[in-house]
Amino acid sequence: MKKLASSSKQRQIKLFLKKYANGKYRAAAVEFSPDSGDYFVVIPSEISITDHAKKMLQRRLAKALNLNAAIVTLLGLKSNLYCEEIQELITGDLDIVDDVVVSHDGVYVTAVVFVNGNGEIDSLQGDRNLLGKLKRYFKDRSLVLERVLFSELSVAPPSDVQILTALNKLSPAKLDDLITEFEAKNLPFPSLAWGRRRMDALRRNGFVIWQKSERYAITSLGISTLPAAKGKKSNDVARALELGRRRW
Amino acid sequence: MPDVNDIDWFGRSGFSRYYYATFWAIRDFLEEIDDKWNSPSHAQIPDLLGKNLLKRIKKVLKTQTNAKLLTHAEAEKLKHAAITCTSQLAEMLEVARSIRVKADYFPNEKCRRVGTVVMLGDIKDGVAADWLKTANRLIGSLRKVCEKIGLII
Repeated sequence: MKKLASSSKQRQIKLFLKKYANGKYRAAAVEFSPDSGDYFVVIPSEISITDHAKKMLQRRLAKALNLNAAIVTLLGLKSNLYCEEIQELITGDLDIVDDVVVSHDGVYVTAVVFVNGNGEIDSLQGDRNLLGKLKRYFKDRSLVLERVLFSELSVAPPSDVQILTALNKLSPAKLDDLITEFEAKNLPFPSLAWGRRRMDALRRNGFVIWQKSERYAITSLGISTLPAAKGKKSNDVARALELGRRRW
Repeated sequence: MPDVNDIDWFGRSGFSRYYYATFWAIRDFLEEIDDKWNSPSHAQIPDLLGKNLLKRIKKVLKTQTNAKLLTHAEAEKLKHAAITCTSQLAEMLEVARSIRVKADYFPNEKCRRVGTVVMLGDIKDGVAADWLKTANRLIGSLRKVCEKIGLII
C-alpha cells in the first residue's frame, strides 16, 4: 500500500517537473526512500541548476504537492562511453531500457536507468544479478557503484525511423530543431545526451551525416529506409511544405 | 411504454449507427496511411486491414531490419502487435457488418427486448455500443506501430 502511494506521488512529481521551468528538469529521476519517507529528485549533471534554483524547486514542490523532496544533483562528468556500454549490458535482448545517465566523481558512480515500462522497473530493481553485473563493470574501471536509480519514461522516445522521418523533413537540422519538432508531437527526447547518442549511432551506420555548422542531414541510405508513401502524406510533400514555410 | 414495433425500428437503426461509427473510425485511419484507401467498400475493409495494410507493414519492417534500423526482436514485436490489432479489427468489423446488413435489409429479423437489453440476432446493444471503443483502442495501438516505422508521419 505504501509502495502504491509513493509511486503515485513519484508520478505526480514527474508530471510537475514536466511543466515546471518549461520542462528543463523533466529528465530528472524521482526516487523514494522508504526508510526516511523522503523523495529525491535527481538532476543529471548535464542540466545546470544553481543553489537558488534548487531551493525554488523544493519550495514549489512543497507548495504544489505538499511533500518534502530533496534535490540531488549528480556530480562529475557523465560519460557517453559508459552510458552506451551499460545500456547494452542491461538491455541484452530486451527492449526496455531507453536511456542510461552515469555520473561519477572519480571514485563513486551514480547511474540512472530510464526504463520504458513501470512493471519493468520492479523486475530490474529486484534483479541482484543485474546489480552484480553493474558493480563488476565499474570495479573493472576502478570505480565504485554507489547507487543505481531506476526511473520510468512516461512517453516512449521517438524511434530511429521517426528521427529519420523528421530529419528528412527538416534537413539540415540541429539537434535542438529535432527536439522542438518532437516536443510539438508530445514525443520528448529523454535527454540531450540521449539525442546525441542516437544521432551518433545513426551517423555511424551511414543514415545521417554531420555537417560543419553542427547540423545533421539525412543520407540517401537514410531516405531509402523510409516508407514510400504517395500523395499528400508522402515524405516528399512534408519536405516541400517545410522548405516553402522556411522561404516565406 | 414503447411497443414491439418501436423497439424493432429504433433498435435496428441503433445497431446500424453503431456499425457506421466504427466503419468511419477505421476508414479515417486507413486514409491516414494511404490516400487511395479513402473510399473502400464495406466488404473491402477487412481485406485492406488483414492483407494490404499488414503486407505493407511487414515490407517496411523487413527493409528496416535489413538496414539494421530495427533489431530482429523489435521488428517481431511490432509485427506481432500489427497482426493482433488488424485481425481483431477485421474480425470485429465482419461481425458488426453482418448485424448492420440484418438491421438494414432483413425486416423479418426483428430486434427484441430481453429484460433491459435490446438484441438483434445474438448481439446485445451493449456489445454493439462497445464496437467503436474497441476499434479506437486497436487503432491507437496500430497507429503507434505505423508511427514507429514511419508509415504515418
